[in-house]
Amino acid sequence: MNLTPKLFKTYAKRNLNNPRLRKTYRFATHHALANRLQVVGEVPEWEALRERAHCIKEEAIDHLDYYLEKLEVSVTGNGGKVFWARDGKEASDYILSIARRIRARTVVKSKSMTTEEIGLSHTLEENQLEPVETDLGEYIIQLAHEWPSHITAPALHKTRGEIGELFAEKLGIPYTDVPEELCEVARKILRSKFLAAEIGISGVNFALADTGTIVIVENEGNARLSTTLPKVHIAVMGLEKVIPSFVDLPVFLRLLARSSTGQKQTSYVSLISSPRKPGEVDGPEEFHLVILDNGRTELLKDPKVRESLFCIRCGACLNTCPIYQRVGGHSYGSVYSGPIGAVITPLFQGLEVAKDLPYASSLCGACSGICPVKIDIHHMLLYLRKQLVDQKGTPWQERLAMKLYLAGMKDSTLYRLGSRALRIALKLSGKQSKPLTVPGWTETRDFPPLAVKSFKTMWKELQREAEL
Amino acid sequence: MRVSLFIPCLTDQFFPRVGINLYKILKKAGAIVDYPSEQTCCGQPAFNSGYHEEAIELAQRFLQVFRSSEYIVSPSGSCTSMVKMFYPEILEDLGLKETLHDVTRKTYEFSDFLVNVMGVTDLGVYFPHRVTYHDACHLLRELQVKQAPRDLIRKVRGIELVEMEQSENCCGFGGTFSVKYPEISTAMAEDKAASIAQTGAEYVVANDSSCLMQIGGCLSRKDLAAKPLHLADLLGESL
Amino acid sequence: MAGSRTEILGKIRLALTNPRAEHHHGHESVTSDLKQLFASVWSRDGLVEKFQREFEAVSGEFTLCDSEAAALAALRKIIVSSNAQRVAVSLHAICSWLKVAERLQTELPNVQFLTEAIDSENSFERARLKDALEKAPLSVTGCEYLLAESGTIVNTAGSQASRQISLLPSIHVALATPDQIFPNMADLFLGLQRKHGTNLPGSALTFITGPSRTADIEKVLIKGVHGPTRLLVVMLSA
Repeated sequence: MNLTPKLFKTYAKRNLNNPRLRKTYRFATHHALANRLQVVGEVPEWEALRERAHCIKEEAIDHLDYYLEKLEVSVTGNGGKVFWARDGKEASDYILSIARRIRARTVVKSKSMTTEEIGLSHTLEENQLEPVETDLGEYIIQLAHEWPSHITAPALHKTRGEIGELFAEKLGIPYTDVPEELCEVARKILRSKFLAAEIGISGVNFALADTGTIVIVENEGNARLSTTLPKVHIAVMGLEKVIPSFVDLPVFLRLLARSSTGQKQTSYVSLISSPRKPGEVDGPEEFHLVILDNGRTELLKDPKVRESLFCIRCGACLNTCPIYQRVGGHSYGSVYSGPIGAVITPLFQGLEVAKDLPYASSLCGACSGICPVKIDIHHMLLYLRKQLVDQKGTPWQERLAMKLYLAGMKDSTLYRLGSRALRIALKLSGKQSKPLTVPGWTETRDFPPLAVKSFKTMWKELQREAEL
Repeated sequence: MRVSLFIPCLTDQFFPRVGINLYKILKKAGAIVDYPSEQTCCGQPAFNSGYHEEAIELAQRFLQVFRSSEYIVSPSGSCTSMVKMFYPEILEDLGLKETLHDVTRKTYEFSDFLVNVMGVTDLGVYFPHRVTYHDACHLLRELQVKQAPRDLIRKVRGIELVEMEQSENCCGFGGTFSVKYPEISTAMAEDKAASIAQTGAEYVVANDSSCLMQIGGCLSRKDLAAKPLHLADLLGESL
Repeated sequence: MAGSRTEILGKIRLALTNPRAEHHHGHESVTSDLKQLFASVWSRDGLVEKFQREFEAVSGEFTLCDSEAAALAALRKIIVSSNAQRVAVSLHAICSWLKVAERLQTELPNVQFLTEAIDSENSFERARLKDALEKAPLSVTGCEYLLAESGTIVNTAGSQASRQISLLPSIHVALATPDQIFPNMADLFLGLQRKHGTNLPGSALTFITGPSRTADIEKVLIKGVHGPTRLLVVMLSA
């Protein structure tokens, strides 16, 4: 699978007309929203927590260089190594150099959107390594050679039947669509990989600058296994993931699982500060933290979109977005889909490549309302539209229409004349009081007729009556 | 209390009765109502599509047209949001801070104005029908108006207000979104129509003609019983 | 790499010379006071009951014991009913003090009890321990703290226990006492900060809330994906 945001309209149309896919997405997103509503309802301090989380992220991003340097000092002080990567290639090259040095063959990966972003697994495969996705959802899409369709539930678009067929085909097992049985198969296969792997690669949910700690949030236990058993642990983080302090973490942890999966807390939260310390009987011998830029410093430049770096990757905006619910994650042509994806994908890849994304929104604002760190997502989409217009990236017909619209609206005489002319034209063609035909609308919905008299006309008549 | 009517272009051209009814309502509530006739459009269509230049021109014009108004009241949540929330953003660099602050402060969506400024909820209206209410996005999320329309509806004699499932879900209009992505837009309208049908309501009431146009267009195409009804029409038609 | 580091930091500094636009949509005044942000779960009343309720809500199995004998009896019952032939026991003080391995070995001669008492600096022994734990279907450990708000157990990797002992076996039993319960995570973190400053104990701190789970297949909740399938707490109140 190789997707591009350029083809959003094509993908969206295809997915909209796939009833099975529509049903799958509808069920999954509604389920997530219902669970979230319940656990959020239990927290009277919810709005205050969101506010506080936003401010912590603001502090971190507004002083990003300071906190990243502090993080580096803390991590290296604890015995870990820090590597700064300008892009995916530098990150991958560093990881490959470690693999070569320790003669690694197998790499276990826990779920990390950042490593998806840079196509790390693909690069590892090309270099004769065996990268194994260990999160069940990621394992499924790895077998299927597909991209994740949701930020936290990568195989959300698949039914149990499809997963059953996939396992039967790729793993040579007899077909079953019983989720527990499929899970058991994956558990057995992956357990042997955890035990054999020389390298474990994880993402980072939060990096605590003062204690030099990375935080990994998960439910399955695969991240714990990936970061405990192999000799080397490499954590890849987007540079925006750093937060000032250890005591900031509880605020985020009270918001994240509730927003993401509707749990009070995920099964496991790991706070890893160093490789194995003397006296400890397990743990990696080496811990590497890769700090990745890959376009984030570009985003940082524009104060109007800087806030998009606050994202804690909970996926709530996807679940609540009426567009995402209907067109699905793959339509966005990027590993980051939904409302936040519609903001950062054009910013990472360029507006020219993703020009449909900011317009694929009714601007309802549900995303901004649900975001646990109060990112003003829908207003950023509006801003991206402005950017596109400023870059002359919109169709000339639209630009012309806007000029005509302005001309008609800024002169009330012209407006009134136009209003009267329209009615005269309709009357003459016998279409007065008949519903209008509007291309793009009337194929699926009725459109009202133009009122016989405009409000302006009716008001004038009312005033005349009052005078008499 | 002097109130100037702010009648959106859509209302002027397609649903003028909404404006007339708003006038009647405000008069009944005790206001002196005028209509600055030079007004045309607040500039939202341009702004929503990213055309700030055009929007700024119309915004400046709006400030001029309404410069001597005491209150500016509109039957549209989205147009009111444009003035209150987005004018400050697009005009911030133009040194119009005082006029701007004044106008944004004075501008209200009509149900918010009636209930929270004039303190009026009961207009003595009788409407013995079952209705349901749709929360228009701008009104709900930008202006945070949720209770005022419901307070007004509940005071109508004989009325039965039934809440629909997910009344806060977007109807799918979104301005040009409705024609740029017609399939998605229609799918959203169809789900809204289904929620409405489930209530058995004879009318779906909302405070935005654009939402009602979208929802109504879908209800009638699908031959469903419910009819779109603007809150101003519900309250003002019989006055 | 030094080049990349300098370049990235340089880009960040340059970008940040452009200050953030003032937010028009207003952020209300914010408190940084964790006590206020966790006010509804700050109380220290009824912590055992609260913990039990939340722990069981995430499929944890809870037993409250009022004596050493009762605790050992509970452990024995769990081991016998699970048919585990091998049990790993951590070096947590509570395990040593209760003499878990020794006493239960006597009572259950057919079960093999193993501990993590090895030379930690010998990599060969560490590898052997890993293999042994992989083959143990049940482990008994202590824990460092518990959180009542979410029914969470907190373990520190250190000389008392490894990371893997609460991870590899499919049944994990944690011994705990009521004084280890914190009402919420913020309270715990403030306490940790007071105690340790910025030097967190051990290489890893793990927060465990129920058994391992996934909902990746059609949102069907399945327990025991990669981590333990069952999580138990035996709490000794005396």
